[in-house]
Amino acid sequence: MRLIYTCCFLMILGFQPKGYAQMHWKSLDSLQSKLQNEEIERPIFIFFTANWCVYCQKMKQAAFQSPKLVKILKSNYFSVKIDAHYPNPIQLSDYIFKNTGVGYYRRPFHDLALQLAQRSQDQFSLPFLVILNPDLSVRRRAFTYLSPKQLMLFLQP
Amino acid sequence: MIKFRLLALLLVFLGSTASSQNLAEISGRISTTSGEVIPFANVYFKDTTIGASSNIDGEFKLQHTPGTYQLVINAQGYTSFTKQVKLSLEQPIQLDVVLSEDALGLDEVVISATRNRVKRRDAPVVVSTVGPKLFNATQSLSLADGLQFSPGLRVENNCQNCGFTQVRLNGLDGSYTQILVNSRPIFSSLLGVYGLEQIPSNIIDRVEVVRSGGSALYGSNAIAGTVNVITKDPVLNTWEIGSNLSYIDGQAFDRLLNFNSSSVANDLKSGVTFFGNYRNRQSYDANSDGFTEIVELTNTTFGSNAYFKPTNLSRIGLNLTAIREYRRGGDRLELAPQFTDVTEELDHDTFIGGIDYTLNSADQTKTLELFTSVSHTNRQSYYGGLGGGRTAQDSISANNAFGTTKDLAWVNGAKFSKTFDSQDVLTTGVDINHSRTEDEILGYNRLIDQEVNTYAAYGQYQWNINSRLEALIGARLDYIAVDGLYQVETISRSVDLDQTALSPRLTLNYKWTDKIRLRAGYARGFRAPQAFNEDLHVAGVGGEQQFVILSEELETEYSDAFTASINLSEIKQQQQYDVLVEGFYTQLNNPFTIISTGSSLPNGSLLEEVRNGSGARVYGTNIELKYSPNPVYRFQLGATYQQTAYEETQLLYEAPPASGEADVFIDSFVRNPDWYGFFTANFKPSEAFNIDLTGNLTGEMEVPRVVNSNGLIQLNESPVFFDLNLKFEKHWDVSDLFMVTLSGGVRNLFNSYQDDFDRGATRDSEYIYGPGLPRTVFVGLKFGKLH
Repeated sequence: MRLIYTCCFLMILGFQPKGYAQMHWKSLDSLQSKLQNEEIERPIFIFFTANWCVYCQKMKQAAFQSPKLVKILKSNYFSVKIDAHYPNPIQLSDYIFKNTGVGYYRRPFHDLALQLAQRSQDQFSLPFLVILNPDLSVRRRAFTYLSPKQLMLFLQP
Repeated sequence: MIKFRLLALLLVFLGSTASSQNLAEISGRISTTSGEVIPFANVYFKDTTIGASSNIDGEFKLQHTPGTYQLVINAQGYTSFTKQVKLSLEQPIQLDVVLSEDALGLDEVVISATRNRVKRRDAPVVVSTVGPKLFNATQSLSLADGLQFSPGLRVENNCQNCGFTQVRLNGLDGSYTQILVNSRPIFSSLLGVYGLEQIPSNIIDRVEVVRSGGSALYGSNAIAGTVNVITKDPVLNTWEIGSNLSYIDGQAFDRLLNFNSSSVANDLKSGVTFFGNYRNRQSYDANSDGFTEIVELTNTTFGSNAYFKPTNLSRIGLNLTAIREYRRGGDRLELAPQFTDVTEELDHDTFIGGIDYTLNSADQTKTLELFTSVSHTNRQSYYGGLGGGRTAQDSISANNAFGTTKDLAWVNGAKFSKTFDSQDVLTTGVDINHSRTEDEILGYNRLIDQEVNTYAAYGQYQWNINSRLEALIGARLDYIAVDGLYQVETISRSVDLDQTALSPRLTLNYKWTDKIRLRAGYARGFRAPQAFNEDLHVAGVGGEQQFVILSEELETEYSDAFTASINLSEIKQQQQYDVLVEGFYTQLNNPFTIISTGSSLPNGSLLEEVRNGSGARVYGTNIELKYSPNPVYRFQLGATYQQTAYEETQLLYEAPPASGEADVFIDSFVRNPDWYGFFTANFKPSEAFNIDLTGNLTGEMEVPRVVNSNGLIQLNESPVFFDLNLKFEKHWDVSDLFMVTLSGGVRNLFNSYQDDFDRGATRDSEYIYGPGLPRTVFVGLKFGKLH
């Protein structure tokens, strides 16, 4: 009995998914400066996350480690990961978004996340993914956990 | 089929379903009163799926088939805008919208994760939760440790020879509380005796305690309430190994090693968790008389929980747990039991396995749950010893004190719930439970052979009468058949009854203001005559064994429980507070009372009998305060004041005829302090470091003590106990995949511990009360991926 369980445990420890790739996110600073200089021609992919969001962590383990997806996100999109609680202002082109809840709320959400994620009924939730066209209009949004297959569909042009 | 799903997904993302040929258009710009544009505002037609976000310049464009619609525009921090518009193909509409600032909308944004759960504040019944943070803060090694920090709940150790712990909820002892695992009553009576210490804390996600009114859903034995242990459901691929070393009063080591690891598929459709736990505790002798006050304990537990979701709407779960526990108390633990003066040795081999199936309707309003669960325990026991004497008879008795117990519990159930448009919820279900206990100690001619079958149906309706008032009406109909044979030495009793009992329940939940909630409720409960957990335990008292047997014509016990509470809670910017004041009153009719009949058995063993008492009341109040000024500090305080009373003075000890002793009577329950409480304080200056200070305060209580070989009971008053625990914890993120946590501290810092233990081979081993541990220093190390 003990032997079976030890084997199972070791199997899980050593288990690696088929193919493993490291996701390379562009920095928030480079997003802001490149937008200022109008240097971005690809669509922008934003992944909003937070350290308490378990499904965001799962996406980091699953979809964002898939070699095919990492390649698409690197070549076809300007991909950024933003902490939904980021305390400083973020400037996209002419508009400055702030985090007005800092020091006020326990989980202060950045206005950029709140505004991009607005829906008619449901309240703000994470994970939240959004694709912006180069002109910063909203192309597509997703409000739930996406498996590698689902993220692949999401990224279809 | 697959292609259709892919297409549907794509359409969800694109948000529009019609082609552009015959669509009318509306466009415009959204700005503030000061002329600034509002990017990413949400623009949509009410009650349709047509919507879009404004771009970075505040411009929007929507297209739809011609007609009249309500155009709605929402933007964070601004008042919502609605306008009726008439779309026509010939005339596209241009609309510039100005939104004004919304100063009142400063409520904290509420998060909804991918799963829904009822907010604790809105729950129809008061639920006290003991979460993972509290188990961690108190360095709880098992379920028993963590439960001490819930209002109205006391956990106490009742036996120095075996360490049998029980949960006392609102003044009533362990057999009045139903312990559930994932809402299922898989604990058999035997497992209930030692089970609290057998469930390791590393698999517990949280424990939900509902005080009173459990019978309407869970049947017999839930008069005081329910303790629902909810285990962790994995999401991430993680692994963790932990170890803890405690040093009890500079004398005995308690070592713990545990691990758990999870693996969940990328599509979240299947997952498995493996967990294991090894614990080895040396025995502890508080008064150096050579006899243990805390027993030697080894526990090895292995288990796994797995789930599989064949479709988006269904889930199959499987759980398996194997527990092997060995306990030994008494004296000279290194010798075989029959050569010692007193030994209680127990070797439990338990297997629990279960399968559950959940099916949701497509619109998420209906749920069907089916489950089956089996728990089987094989126990080898030894209750006996030479008892201080050295005659041949003593030796023969000692050699014959070995016993075996087989205990099986098999629970099956089906539950259906439906949520109506009005948000009313109907829950109905059926339970079929079977339990079989065979406990045999040939040397004492002691036998318990009991079979209990329960068939029950229950229903509950959660009725939203209006936006403020909600009522919960429920009832459960039980048909219970008990067939048991109970023997000890020359006495033989049997119970053969079947009975139908109806347990109704009514709770009202009134939202007085946004911050204040009033609740009141009534619940009926019952307990059919059967051997409960305490009855399966044989105590060593005065050098003799003490048995429990059911009396002839034992009748069902009924209870009426009333509760009322007021709950005030608020989140104000960074501050959070929650205040609960609750009053409870439980009337017990024909309560099962244990009466000692002294040394009435032929070989001098003591006998306790379970009889129906005259009637008793337990009433009091629970106060719970939670306060957190900011994320760095968190405080919690719980206090209970209670009174217990028998309607007529209750017999506790029946003096054997011609002993010259007087009977002993009591007015109120023994081992029940009038007041008790706990507090926790947590200081978390950063993610990497925190300090926890927790404590328990217990008032005086009457504790019975056997003072001679006849079993004569003396009532002693215990002092006030204050046991304070301090813990430090430091956390390092070595890399994204590896984290280490080091912890250390002291439990029972002031060494507030019983100081009048009985001594020697003729001691009353049940004369133990107060905190479970003397001053204990501990250190712990945990490492793994993500915890």
